[in-house]
Amino acid sequence: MLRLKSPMSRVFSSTILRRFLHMRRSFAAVPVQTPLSVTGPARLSLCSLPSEILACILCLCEIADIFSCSIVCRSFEYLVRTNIYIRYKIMLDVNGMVDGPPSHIPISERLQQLKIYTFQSRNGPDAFIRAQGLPYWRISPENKDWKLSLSFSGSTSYIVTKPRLGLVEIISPASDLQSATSHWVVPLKLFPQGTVSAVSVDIVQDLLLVFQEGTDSSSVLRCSMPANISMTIASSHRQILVHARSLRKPDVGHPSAMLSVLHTLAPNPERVEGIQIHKERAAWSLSYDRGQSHDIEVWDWRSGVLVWRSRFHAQVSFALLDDSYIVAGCRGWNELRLYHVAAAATSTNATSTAGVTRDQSIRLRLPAGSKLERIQESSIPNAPPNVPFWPNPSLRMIAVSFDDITATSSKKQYRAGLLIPYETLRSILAVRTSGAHVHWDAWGPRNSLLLHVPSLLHHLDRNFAHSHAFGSRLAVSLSRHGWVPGGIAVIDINPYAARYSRNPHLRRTWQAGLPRYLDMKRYFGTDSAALPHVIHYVGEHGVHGNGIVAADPYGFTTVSAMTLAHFGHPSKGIKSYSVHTAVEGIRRY
Amino acid sequence: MGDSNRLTLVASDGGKFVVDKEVVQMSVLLKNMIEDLGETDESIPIPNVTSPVLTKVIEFCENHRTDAARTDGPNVDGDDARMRTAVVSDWDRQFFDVDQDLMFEIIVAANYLDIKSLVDVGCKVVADMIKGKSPQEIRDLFDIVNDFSPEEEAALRKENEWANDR
Repeated sequence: MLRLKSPMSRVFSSTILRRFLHMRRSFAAVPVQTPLSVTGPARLSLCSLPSEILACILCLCEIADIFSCSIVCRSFEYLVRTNIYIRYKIMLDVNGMVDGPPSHIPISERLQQLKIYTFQSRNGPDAFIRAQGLPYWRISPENKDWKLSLSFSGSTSYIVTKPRLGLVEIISPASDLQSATSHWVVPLKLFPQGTVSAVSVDIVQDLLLVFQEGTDSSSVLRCSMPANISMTIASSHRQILVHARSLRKPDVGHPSAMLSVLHTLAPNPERVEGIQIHKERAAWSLSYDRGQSHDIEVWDWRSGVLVWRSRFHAQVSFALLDDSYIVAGCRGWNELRLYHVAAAATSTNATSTAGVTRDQSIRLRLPAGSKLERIQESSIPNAPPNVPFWPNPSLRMIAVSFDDITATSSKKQYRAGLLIPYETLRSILAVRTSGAHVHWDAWGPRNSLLLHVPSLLHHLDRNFAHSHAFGSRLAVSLSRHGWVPGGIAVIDINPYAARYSRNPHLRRTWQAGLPRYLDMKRYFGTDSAALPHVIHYVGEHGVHGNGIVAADPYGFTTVSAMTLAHFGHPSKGIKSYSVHTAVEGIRRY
Repeated sequence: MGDSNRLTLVASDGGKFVVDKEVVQMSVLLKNMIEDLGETDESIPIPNVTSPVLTKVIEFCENHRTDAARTDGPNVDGDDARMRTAVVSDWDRQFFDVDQDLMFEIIVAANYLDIKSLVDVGCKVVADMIKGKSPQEIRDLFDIVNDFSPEEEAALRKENEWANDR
């Protein structure tokens, strides 16, 4: 009956035949378990579905539902216990991970790596493998001028600028358990126009952003200004040029960028801070007039269009929420503001004649009397190719620090940390329109995690200012003073991690590194928090001196330095640490 | 030679269905088969799939024929593809508002014909039926007999209780 077209078709036909046969087999294999199947073997029920379909169904359920199913009947219990996809799904959820992008890595290999990861993250410092290839420098006069900064994009990277050596070194902790640390070196001589003031990268997109001070000629200015912005800037004015280059080939523009140089808008900016990249969005803040005013600019670096811009008259900090929203706030405010930054609709507004228009925003109140310190930059997890699994982007959070005046029992002001799940902010955006004011009680107490350290926090405030979240986890360096040990606390707001940690079978190993006298939940004042979370403690192996602790895809990284030049002023929102003595090293746990 | 853009599918019980080639090609199995056959007037037999089931499968494919083009649109609000795909559209929900028998037969047929979008939607619909239910409610809903002894069930409950502690 089948008329073959060519010899090649035989191959296809035999494939089809095999499929037919396979299907017949799986029909024949339908277990006749249910009493309902009396009407004949063709009758189907949930139990008699082919196991691959049942597994597919269960993988779409939550863990609690999967376990409910395993109690339904023996065949389900067997499936849940043995099916590799369901096992993998449960472990992913417990770890706050999602499956990696489609790749050649077989499921068995992915599950195996996830088991290793789980073991490492649950069993204290001894189980953490120190990643190979992270740099370590002896403190010496040679590296006195080095500058260290973090780069926030799909992953977390470290950037060390070495002006006298004329290069920028980019260090990225491995994106899976088997790879080594990635290293790139970019010569500063590729940017002869002026001083390089900041660098940021997105490894996944092969994007290198180099910020350079320069007084550029109007010819360059004309060709690189976005079409919808008409503004004349005297050529004598200083500007910041933003080069969009390929990280692998930094001597040429990024192939996806229509303009290889972007120009920040207003003249004479002083500092560029808080650079964050998410897909085609790149955002940063610029300070003017000796720090009196600050602009946040959000660009589409691919099309070279300034998408959104707003001016603030106090020290501002912000975090990209997704490709349409940012959360921003000024130091001293009693609120956070959610701004819509979608392209086109607001771009003309945001850059109208005066150059600045404040957008409508949703205002989220902080606890009464408290004053915003800063919103921490964070990365929005974006998986590189060929990773077996990756932190779940929908579990990510925005970390905020503020002065909690209400908690002041002495003259000291206490710093509190607030972890706001992305879900919380998304659900506010779903029901509120711009201009709304949302009172703290309506969103905070149940839907965010307030970290508060009574009496001993004068060290934590600094540490919190140097801690950055990734996915559902935030790593905080603890003070070494008094009865509080040093080390790192990892706070995970993945609700399944919290439930899993209460699993009596695991309880002992989970808390292996925890000194008996230290109750982490009490330490952070989260005893009665409504938001499920887990805090685990990673022994004495912490930051040496006072350094940066950043959660990254597979754990956390610490950067130690003997002294940070801006050490005394974390409040200034400095993200480019000028290392007074030296960058001592970057370690991965 | 008939309309070169139409094909005839024959269900296991002999029912004949004349369908657009474009619609048929949503099934990877049939797509490969058509490539093998080349230009032909022959009808394609679909063993294992009965007429009522095939009617539903074709209805789904007719409705979703333009989906591939639609997903290329710009991503305007938010960027979490995984969260978005978890939602079943109203049309799909209505489509699966049938007897459990027919529902499972559609899913099995879709699996056999290799129509990924239909398998996905079907699995999501069943997953939604399971969500938030106790083991006994699941048994009642799907007519499943509990073959555990009370002791075994209690032991399993204890082992898994951490997941239910919301």
